[in-house]
Amino acid sequence: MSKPLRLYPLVFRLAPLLIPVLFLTAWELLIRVGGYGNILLPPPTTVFAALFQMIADGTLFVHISASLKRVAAGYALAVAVGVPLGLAMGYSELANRLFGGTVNGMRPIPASAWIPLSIILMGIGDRPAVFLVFIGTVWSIILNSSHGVKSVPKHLVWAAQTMGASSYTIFTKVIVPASMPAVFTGLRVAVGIAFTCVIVAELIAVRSGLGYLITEARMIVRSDIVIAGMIAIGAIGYLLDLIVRLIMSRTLRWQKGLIADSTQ
Amino acid sequence: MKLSIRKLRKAFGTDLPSPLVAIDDVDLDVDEGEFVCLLGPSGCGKSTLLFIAAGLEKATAGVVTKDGQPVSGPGRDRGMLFQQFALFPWRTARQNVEFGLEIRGIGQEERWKRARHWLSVMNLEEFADSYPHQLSGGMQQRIAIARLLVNDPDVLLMDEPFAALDAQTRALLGEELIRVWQETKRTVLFVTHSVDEAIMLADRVVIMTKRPGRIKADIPIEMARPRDTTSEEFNRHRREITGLVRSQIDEQ
Repeated sequence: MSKPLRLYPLVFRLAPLLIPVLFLTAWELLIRVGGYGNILLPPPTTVFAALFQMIADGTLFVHISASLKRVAAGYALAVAVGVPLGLAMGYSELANRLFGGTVNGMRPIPASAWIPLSIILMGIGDRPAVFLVFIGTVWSIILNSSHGVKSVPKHLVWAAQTMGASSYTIFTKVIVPASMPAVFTGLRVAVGIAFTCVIVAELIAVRSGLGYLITEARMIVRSDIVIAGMIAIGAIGYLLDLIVRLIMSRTLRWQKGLIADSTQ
Repeated sequence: MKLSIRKLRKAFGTDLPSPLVAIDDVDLDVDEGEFVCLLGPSGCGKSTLLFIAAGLEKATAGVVTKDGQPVSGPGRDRGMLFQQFALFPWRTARQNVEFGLEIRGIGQEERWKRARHWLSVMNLEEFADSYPHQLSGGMQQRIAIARLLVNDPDVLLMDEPFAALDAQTRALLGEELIRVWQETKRTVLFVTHSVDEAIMLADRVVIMTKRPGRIKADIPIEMARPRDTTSEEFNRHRREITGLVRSQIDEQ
């Protein structure tokens, strides 16, 4: 009786690894033993060898930093425009009427549909990629920020008013902090979109970065590099989300206990 | 007269063929330092009356004056307590209490001195750095009371402030409120739908009719404080006031 109980925590902890390990083993065996291998599909060991090779000689980091720079620039631009605009649209009916139609009209155009025009207007290089990140993320930042303002409980505003707060003070000291959870939700969603956008842009419009790495490898039929690049993309995407979550849980400490789960 | 309400009327949807009249033809005077409870069935417009006095809601007709000056908007001379506590969840207890001082540009040291005083009056000094969600409902409303009193308002408007609390906490907070009120002698207008709470707290219990809310009765409670809810006099008031309130619910 006691033995399986003591074993259980270990099993529980290792459970997430089961499917990847089985999958990689089956893949390796099918190629090595089953003879399904060809130049188009290398075994996982070759993929990881390519990955470590790119880490060792630094190429991977060149591409990662190229992608991240574009993400950072486009995202910063989207935050700088989207948060103030969204807050203003939530607070002022005039601002909402002024910008709301345009925002809702532009939003359904997927970021990838902007690629041809941005290449025509900006050529090949950083600029279309940065633009694509911006155009892909700004809408969700605007809408979440504006929604955040609109869902501020009325009694918080009343309380501030009966303590003599001016409407400017109410905006800066009540509306803005009370909207922060929704603003951060928008920011977090936007990080994922930003990373997707930069990879898409690099597949077509730029000659460096992780997206470029995998298209380039396709041209020379290096599936090992393609898959290694995909693994790197997944890892960087995960790390970006983790960073945003950490920042969120630090800034919104007060929110813990108010919502079911602040880290998911 | 501290607070004076004359011919007050509030109708919602005045652009519709049959607007909803929440309160109509209400006259009410509250003396300096007096504790008045507004009692009535739900939907009788007693909260509306309070919101108009706070300046958060505009009257359709009639006027509210404080110290002879008509009320035109919210101001810190008329502080308010809400049923939902309305604490700022991103601010600690101390930061909540300091809010009103902060927005007036009062320095950090002075702010903390005054906030600490009211936190200690409400027995909350050791929870100064807690966030509202870490505290019980009763403690949260005590923070709200401290946050209200630190601004030194001369009229306190209270909108069913204890309605969300359990009976014991409610009674305890009522006692605390009376203690603070006796020390500071502010003018209080307190909305409740609890007959016992009204008799426990008030100098006068003002009973409102069903919608449209009008004043039905104005009953002075001249019992010494602290009041004994089991005394004969308390029971006599309870019987009389319960009867008046019930007749409002039974009508129609």
